[in-house]
Amino acid sequence: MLILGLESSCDETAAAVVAGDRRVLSHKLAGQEADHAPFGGVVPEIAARAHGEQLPGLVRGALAEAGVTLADVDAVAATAGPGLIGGVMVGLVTAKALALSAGKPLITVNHLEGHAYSPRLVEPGLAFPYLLLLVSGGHCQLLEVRGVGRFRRLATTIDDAVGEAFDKTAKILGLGFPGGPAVERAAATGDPFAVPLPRPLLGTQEPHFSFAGLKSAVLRARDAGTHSVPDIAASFQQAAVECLVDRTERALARAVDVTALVVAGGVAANRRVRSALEAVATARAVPFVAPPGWLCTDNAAMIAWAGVERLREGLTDSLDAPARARWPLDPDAEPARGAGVKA
Amino acid sequence: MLLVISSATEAVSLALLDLSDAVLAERHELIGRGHAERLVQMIAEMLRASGERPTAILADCGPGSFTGIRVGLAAANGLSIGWGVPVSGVSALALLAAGAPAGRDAAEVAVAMVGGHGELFVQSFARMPFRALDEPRSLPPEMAVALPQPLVVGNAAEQLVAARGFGEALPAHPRAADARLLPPAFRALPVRPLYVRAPDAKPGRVA
Ligand SMILES: Nc1ncnc2c1ncn2[C@@H]1O[C@H](COP(=O)(O)OP(=O)(O)OP(=O)(O)O)[C@@H](O)[C@H]1O
Ligand SMILES: [Mg+2]
Repeated sequence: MLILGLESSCDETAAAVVAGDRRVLSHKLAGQEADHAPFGGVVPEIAARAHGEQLPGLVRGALAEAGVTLADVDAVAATAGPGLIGGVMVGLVTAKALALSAGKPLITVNHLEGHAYSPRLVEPGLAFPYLLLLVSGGHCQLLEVRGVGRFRRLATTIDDAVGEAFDKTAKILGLGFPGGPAVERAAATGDPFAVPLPRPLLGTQEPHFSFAGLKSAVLRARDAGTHSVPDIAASFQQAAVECLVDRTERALARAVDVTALVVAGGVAANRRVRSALEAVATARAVPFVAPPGWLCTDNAAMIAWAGVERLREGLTDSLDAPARARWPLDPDAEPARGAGVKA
Repeated sequence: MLLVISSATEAVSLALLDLSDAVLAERHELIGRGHAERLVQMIAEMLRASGERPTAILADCGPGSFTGIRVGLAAANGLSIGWGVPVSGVSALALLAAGAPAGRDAAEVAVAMVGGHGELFVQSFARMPFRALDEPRSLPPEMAVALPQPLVVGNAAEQLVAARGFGEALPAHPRAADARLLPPAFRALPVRPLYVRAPDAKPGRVA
C-alpha cells in the first residue's frame, strides 16, 4: 500500500509518500519561518499564500523522489483540520483534485490524529490502546488512543498549549521564533533551579494542564533583571517538564489497560521532555515510545501514515469533505474549565 | 479539451471548451461560501456527465476573494499534476470584461469587483480589439468613481455606478465559458494568484 500525504495546517507545507510496511519513500517540507519572523508569530494570510505557492512543487518532488507516479499510489491523504483554515483549504483541495484526476480515494486526516499515530510509523510493535501525551504548538492533551478514530481525551490545557508557552518564553527572552528549539538551546547552559517559577495545577485533583501562569512568571523574572537568560530558560523548561510529568503520572496511574506511554507533537522533540517521560514510563514498567524529532514537528509523513491506518479500516471520504478550523479528536470530552480552550 | 475553472468570487463557474472553443459543458452556481467543499465535487460531476477528460486547464487567478482564488488554483494545480496536462491562468477582470454583452455600443468597459476592506478591484478594457487600458487596482470607492467608462460590469458594478451617479451597471460574476471570448494572450497568464492587495499582517496564535 502506498499513500501520498499532504500537510498545510500551520506554517509547514509538506508532501510525503509512505508505504504500508512503514517505509517513508519520500518526504518534502518547506518551512515559512522567514515569512513570519517579522511578526513574531504565524500570520494566517501569509501562511495561506505560502502554502499555495509551495505545495504543487512539493507534491511533484515527493512523487519523483519516491520514484512513483500518482497512478501508483492507493489513496491521497490530506490534513483537513484543525488549523489555520486558509492553509488547510489549500492542502485539502489539492488532495481532492489529485484524487479525482487519478481516480484514487481521498482520505481526510485530523492533524492531531496524524501526530497521534506517528509513533506507530516507527514502532511496529506499538498496539492500541496507548496513553498519548500530545504536546504541540496548539495543543496539550492526554489521550487514550484506543484504535483508529477512537480517542478518549483524559486531560487538556485550560489556557495555553505547552508549545505556545515555549514560543512565548522565547519571545520574552528575545530568543527568536519558533521558540521551542531556541529555549532548549539556551537552557542547556543554564541552571534549571536558579529561578523560582510556579508549576500550575501540579498535584491537583483535576486532570488538566495550565501554562499561562508560568509564562507570566517568566515575564516577571525577565523584568526583574536579576537572572541570566540561560537560567530563566532552563528554569522555565524545568517547570514545564515537571507539569507534564505530574499530569502524565496521574493519568498513567488511572489508565489500566494501556500498552505504552507515547509522546508526540512538536514539544516531544525536546530532549528534557523525552527523558523525563521515559523515566515516568520506566517507573510504571510500561514501554515508552517517542518518534524521532523530524516526525514530532509538523510533517506530511505522519499524515500519509494516518492515511495508511485509515485506509486499512476502509475509511475514505467524499470530494465534498469539509475543511475544519476546529476538530477535536474526542468530541464527547467534557469541556475543561476555562473558556476559549482550543479543543 | 480545455477545462476552465473560476472560483474567485461567490460564484463557482466551470466550462469545458473544445478545440474550437465551443462550449461542451458548463456549470455556474452562486454558492457564496464553501468553495473548498463544492469546487472539486462540481468538476467531478461535470466531467462525469460529459464523459470527457481535459487536455489543458485554464484557472481564474483573481482578483477576488483570497480564499476563492487559492481554492481554484489548488484544484487546477492538483488536476494538472494528476492528468499530466498544462495549466495556465486568466484574470477575473478580463473574464468579466469579455462577458459584457457585445450589443452595447460602448467601445470601452470598466470592471468593478468587490474587494477587501470596502475597496473595489477595478480595471478598464477596450473591446474591439480586446485589450487592457490599465493595470488591476484595489481602490477605495471614493477613488474608483474616477473611472470614466459609462459601462461598468462586475459584482460591484451597481455600487460604483450608484456612487458615481452616471452610466450603466451590468451586475455579473466571472463566467468560465467567457474565456472563449478572450484573445490567446489573456489565457496564458502564469498560474499565480492576482491578489492585488497585500495580506493583512495580523499575527495569529503567538501574540
Ligand atoms: N525542541 C523543542 N523543545 C520544545 N518545544 C519545541 C521543540 N521543538 C519544537 N517545539 C515546539 O513545538 C511546537 C510546534 O509543534 P507542531 O508543529 O506539532 O505544532 P503545530 O502544528 O503548530 O500545532 P498543532 O499540532 O497543535 O496544530 C512549537 O510550539 C515549538 O516551539
Ligand atoms: Mg502539529
